[in-house]
Amino acid sequence: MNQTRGDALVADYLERVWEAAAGLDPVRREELIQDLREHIAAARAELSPETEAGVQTILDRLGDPAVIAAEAAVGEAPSWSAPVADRDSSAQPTGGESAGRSRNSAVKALIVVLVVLLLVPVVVCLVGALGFLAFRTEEPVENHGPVVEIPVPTEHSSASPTS
Amino acid sequence: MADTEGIASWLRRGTLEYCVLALLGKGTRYGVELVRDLAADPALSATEGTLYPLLSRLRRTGWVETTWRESPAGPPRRYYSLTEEGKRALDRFRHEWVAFRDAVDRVMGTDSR
Repeated sequence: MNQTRGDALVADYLERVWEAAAGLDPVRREELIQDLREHIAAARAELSPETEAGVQTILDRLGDPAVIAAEAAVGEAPSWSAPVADRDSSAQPTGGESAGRSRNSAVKALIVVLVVLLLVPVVVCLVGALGFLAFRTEEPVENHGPVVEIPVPTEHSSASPTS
Repeated sequence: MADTEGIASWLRRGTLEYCVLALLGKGTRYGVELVRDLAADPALSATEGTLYPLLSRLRRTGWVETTWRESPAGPPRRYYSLTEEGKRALDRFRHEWVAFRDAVDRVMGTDSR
């Protein structure tokens, strides 16, 4: 009997956390519930005879579902973490246990480099186009000559004189 | 911000995660114990449940990692430990903290000496 009462308390509590965390990223939301479920299962295993009051105490100590959900909604990374993670990924720490972590950050760094490489031609084109436009609008009549001259030496030049 | 509780939670932001790192700096800890130790201090104004989102952020940042171990009774337990990056972050925080605390104490007149 106690067992089922305890189960019901836990299910109700997790349901309330789940509802309170509705605004979270789905993966985060699932992870939060999983973490709390693990905690509750471990803490319940420590109650030698499990009582309803014992289970209720575990839940009370976890705290208000709304407060937990609000904490989960706080910034994605701990404060001041971003520059640290970046620097460490390039430093390649030698510690064996953090090898997986640094590989992870190395992959992230690689993605950043690729994105930057892809952006460079786009930016160059944009700057070129803007420069071209600025050139044209600044001197509308006088510079018509040079502007037209540019396409002339290409394929068009061979086509137009012959015809 | 007006009431004492507001001030406490404001101060807690950005500090509590380093308290977690400091506890883990003493050795690998079982998640439930770790969370209980931190929540036991009322000055830190954290309930046990609010520490899991914090631990999750520390995992994602790569400062903390977890391993599963069999438990003598009940389900397998998740143990938390510091990564090398976490150790460096903790060292940096200790350094910054002392300078910051001293400066605030000087201005507030709360320094004990």
